[in-house]
Amino acid sequence: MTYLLASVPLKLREIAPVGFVPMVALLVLLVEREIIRARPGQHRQQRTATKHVLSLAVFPLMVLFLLLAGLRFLTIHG
Amino acid sequence: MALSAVLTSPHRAARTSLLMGALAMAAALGGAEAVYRVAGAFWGAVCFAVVFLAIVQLALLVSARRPADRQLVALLAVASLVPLDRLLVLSAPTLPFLRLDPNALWVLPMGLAGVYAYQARWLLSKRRPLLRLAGPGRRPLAIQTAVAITGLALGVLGADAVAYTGPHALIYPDAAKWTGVALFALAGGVGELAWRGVLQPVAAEAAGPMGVVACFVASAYVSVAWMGFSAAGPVIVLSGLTSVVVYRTRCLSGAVAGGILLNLLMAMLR
Repeated sequence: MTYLLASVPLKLREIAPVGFVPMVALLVLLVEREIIRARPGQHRQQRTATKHVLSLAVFPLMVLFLLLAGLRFLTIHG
Repeated sequence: MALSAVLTSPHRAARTSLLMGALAMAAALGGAEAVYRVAGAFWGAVCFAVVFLAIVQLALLVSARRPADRQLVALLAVASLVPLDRLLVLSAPTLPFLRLDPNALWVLPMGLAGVYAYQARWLLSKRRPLLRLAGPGRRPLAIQTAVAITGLALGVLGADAVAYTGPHALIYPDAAKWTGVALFALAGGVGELAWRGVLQPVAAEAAGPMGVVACFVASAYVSVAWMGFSAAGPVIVLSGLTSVVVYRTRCLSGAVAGGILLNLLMAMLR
């Protein structure tokens, strides 16, 4: 753990390639959620469990995506 | 007539299969960590994302095949928080504005996920509110206060013991630095909420004390992977204490306060 001497304004000038990995995972989960939602003939209990599991997985990745988007918006328009 | 182990002792067979699952997950996480160390953050993050998605798929498969097995679905869903934590740590944007390295920006998505999971009724039916004490009288309050004070003491000890030659935190009296320090402190509370508040109760419900031990090992692993072994030492000691206290009292307030105080003092006093 170290402190950085130089301080720059709160800006995200570029997104590293590693930043796109959770976005791809988020995309996979969102597509899967839509496929499962459109699938007919599922039991109500099963559908609820599936929805809960996917929501727990999607939520943090969505927050990270919004954080990245917010920082980029601040950088461009701030 | 010979009977299989599953028929003679279904409980034991379930424990064995949980142990095998935990070992498989540990092997997958170890492999992803090795890839990160060898090939860099991008490929490490890819591996953690694959492990995370695989566990989510497994949870979906179990919920489709065995909808009545709510406990196993919940266990798999919360187990996915471990690779998710590593994925977020590796992929959260690095902001020099926050001045502090390692970067603690991953705390925001992980913390919100922890709160979301902690509030979720489907994971555990019996859940105590975060700030409610284990019972009436002074003893529960004294236990939680003792845990918080232990966190505080470990923070002072960690700041003193961990070798550091860089500039002092209080050199720059600006908001950016305090934002970085606040995020770092919040990481302690978020860790306790996620591992002791969400993963541990579900694991303990499924596997008893072995689940608590597995949860402690998982939290120690993510601490070491994020902060390094020397800085994570005090965090691991506090994790050991909070694992026992939360398991026995089912109250999180002391653990969360202790985690926040430990990280805050370790960041400020060094």
